Amino acid sequence: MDAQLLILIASFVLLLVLDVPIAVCLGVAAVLSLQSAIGDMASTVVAQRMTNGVASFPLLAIPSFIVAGRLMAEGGMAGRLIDFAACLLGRSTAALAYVCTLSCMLFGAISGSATAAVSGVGGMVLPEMWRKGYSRPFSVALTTVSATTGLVIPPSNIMIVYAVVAGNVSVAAMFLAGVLPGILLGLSIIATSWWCMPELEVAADDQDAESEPESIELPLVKTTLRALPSLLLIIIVLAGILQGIFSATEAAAIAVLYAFVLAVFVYREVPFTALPKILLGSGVTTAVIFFLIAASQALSWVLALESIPQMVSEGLMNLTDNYFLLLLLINLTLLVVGTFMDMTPAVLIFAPIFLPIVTSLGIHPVHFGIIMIVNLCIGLCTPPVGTCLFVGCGVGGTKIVDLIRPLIPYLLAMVIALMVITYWPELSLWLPRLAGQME
Amino acid sequence: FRTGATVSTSEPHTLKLGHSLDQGHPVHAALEFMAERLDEKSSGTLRMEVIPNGQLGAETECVSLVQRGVIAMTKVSAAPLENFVPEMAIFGVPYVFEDEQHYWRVLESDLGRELLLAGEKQGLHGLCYYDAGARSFYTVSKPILEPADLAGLLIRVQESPTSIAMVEALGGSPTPVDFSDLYTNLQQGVLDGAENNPPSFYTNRHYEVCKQYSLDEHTRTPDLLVISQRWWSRLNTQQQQWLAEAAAESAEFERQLWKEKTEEALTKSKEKGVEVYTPDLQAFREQVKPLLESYRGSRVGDLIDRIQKMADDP
Amino acid sequence: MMKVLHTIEKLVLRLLEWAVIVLISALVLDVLWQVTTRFVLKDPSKWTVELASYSMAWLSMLGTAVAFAHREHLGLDYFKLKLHGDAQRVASILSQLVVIAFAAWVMLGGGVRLVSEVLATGQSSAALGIPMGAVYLATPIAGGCVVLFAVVDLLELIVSPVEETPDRSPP
Ligand code: NA
Ligand code: NA
Repeated sequence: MDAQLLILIASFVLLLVLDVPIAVCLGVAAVLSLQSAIGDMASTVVAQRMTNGVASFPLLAIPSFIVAGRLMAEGGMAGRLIDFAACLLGRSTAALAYVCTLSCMLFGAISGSATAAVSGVGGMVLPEMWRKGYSRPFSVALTTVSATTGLVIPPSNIMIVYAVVAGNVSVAAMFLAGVLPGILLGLSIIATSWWCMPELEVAADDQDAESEPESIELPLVKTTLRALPSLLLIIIVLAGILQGIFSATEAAAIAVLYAFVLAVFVYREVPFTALPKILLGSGVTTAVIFFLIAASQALSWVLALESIPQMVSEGLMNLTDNYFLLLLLINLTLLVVGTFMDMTPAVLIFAPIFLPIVTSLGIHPVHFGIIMIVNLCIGLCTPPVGTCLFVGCGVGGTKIVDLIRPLIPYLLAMVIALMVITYWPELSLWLPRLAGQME
Repeated sequence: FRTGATVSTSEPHTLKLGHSLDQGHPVHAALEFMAERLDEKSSGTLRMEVIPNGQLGAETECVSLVQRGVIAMTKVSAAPLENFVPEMAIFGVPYVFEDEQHYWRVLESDLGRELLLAGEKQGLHGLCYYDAGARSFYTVSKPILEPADLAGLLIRVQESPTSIAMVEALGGSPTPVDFSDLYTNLQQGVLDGAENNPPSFYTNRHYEVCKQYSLDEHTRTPDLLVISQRWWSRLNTQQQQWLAEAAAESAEFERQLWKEKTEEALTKSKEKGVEVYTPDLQAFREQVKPLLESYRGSRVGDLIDRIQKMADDP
Repeated sequence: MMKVLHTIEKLVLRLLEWAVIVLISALVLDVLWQVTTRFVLKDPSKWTVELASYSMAWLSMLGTAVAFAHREHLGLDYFKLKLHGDAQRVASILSQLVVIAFAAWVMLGGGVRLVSEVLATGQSSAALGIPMGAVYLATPIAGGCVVLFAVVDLLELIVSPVEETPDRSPP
């Protein structure tokens, strides 16, 4: 057993450092340790686990939400949402930081992924922020952390993944549970921007004079009307799932249809000829996520065969059985995991390990799902491995190293929000209970 | 390298068993009990390690792994097993058993043992049956008191051709829905009802949305404990005997526990406001006669004949 | 030699890209059809769930191969970028070798054995009745394509005199 675990960890770390794709690192770690356990059937088993791991019906909502997100970003919906946010919060230099976060939250409410928000919202807000004198590292850091709210605010792809591994958890309950924590997360980011602002404004003021004449006041009614179809989609998706019209998978497909009609026929910002490219891009993004899911399914299988989840839970339980300490310990573990592992494999591998412990402490699986996702959202923004960080750097043209300093206050704020979410279960559970989605 | 299916007698061996039920399920308790008994019988030389919660894959995937000897054992319902062992379709045929006594008489007969070993060609050696009760319809609003009540209702079925044929024969509209979507689909009125045994109805909290439960007991689909033929043939006679004995004891243990769970589930469901009906089954039996006839001449048809001959035995 | 390889690579990639486009469209349409049959026709389809799951296996695997060609799989280039010149090139070569080994051993080799073993046991799917081997076939096919793309990349790394850090975006 010990030899297997050693092979597993050593090969994973070594390959990760070599810049082997993370999914391949996971797959190689799985097949090598399995080879030492069951011999030459290992490669067949890993191939089977990988294929079955993604041939799962509940995961089907993910590609649809990705297609819908792309159509919305390229079809002019992201831009209209930003205008709406700007209209609510004003066009001053300081307000632009809040607009960025609010836009990410609004965009997050119609798309299921954080990277879609980084590229969709970031692509539009970032140039505006630079024009107003925000530094590149600061603005990219802000967009990166703001985008993670989209994973906590429903719909959310990672919540679907969590509901699949947790088993007895409904996607609708997870979605509802994410609403208030997602808003709290967004508010904590806005508060941090407000707190950092004096420092920022000094830098920004110098350039204000020359750029000011360009900003145009947009009338509230007109902007709201323009954003209405996009806002309506939030209602269709969420109310549809919650009010008993369709499942998450079906809501995602309907979102695609809606966004397609809006982008192609109403706004006419996406020509028919652009569709294959959008579909291909969505298909490849889906595959990148699903290949990670596939490889981590193989690795979790190996861990389960070696009874690692039971060992870890027993180990943790032996360490302490105090509710507060144990949750703190789990949160710390996940923060460490999140620094070097992507969110999807982290959920797939660690949810089965921690769930038995936390449910034995009387924590609801839905609440734990929210804790886990908020925690790993922080990991998405921490180097060295952070998907949001990678995309943010790509969109903003910055280096990861430069982002570290501006990220620190935001990450601290997110950790504080995480603690509130961890130790205040009602914040997550109140809405799903109210809607009758769980007992 | 070592291969998974190598068993020598000198050192202690561990048989790994993966199943998809949670730890609160009677079958899981029975498997843990079996592991204890095996440990005692073999003085620790032959062990069983139970890995629950579908950690090693869903039911069909576990069967496939057992077939190839990657893991030693699994627990599988006769319904998904149909995709590997065609004879298992018999347990999806409605009203093939007169009542519970008839059902157990068949399972404990030579025919029952024959069915247990029907998967040997496919690499699956059955060890014992676990009781999974009788499956009955539950609906959101309209109680099923006679087959006509099913007309036009969307009923969730397991993804097996026999289940689909069964609900069609009774007059309902069978709808294969993934189990993970079932609760929400019932709640949202996308489906009118489903069918399952009382403990499953209760533990999955379907009583929260389905207030009508009609004990029409259309099918009795057991769970099977299966060991890989590759592993089984490598065990010596003594080890095979330990395993068979421990399995039999665990089956007994589970049957008792299942009975308690069923009663508890029905009582608690009633407390939660569920109406439980015991409809007259004659009309249901009449309704499915054409379906039973349609199997005539097939392997399943022969099994139906043999089972029905045992109905009147003392 | 390289020219022939490049032509083959390009051809295979185009084919895979179109397969991905068709599969993802099919997925969305399949679910929309499910909604239609349930709400409008009141006669829910019996095969949409299964078809969706199996198309998803194919989409994931073929899309994975395309993502290798486009270099879109997430990796950790932090340490590699700290290296200089030849050391970085050696790291890139090693990394490509690992990808080739994994794709050849697990996806292609394991996949082919899986397909033949599962076809031999005759396991078939519940609603559509298609052999499960046809579902698993996606994995070895994708594995073969990944090997092709990675070998071309590797040869380029070895042949090309100065190697810049590869661009991680689609062409
Ligand atoms: Na979202
Ligand atoms: Na990270």
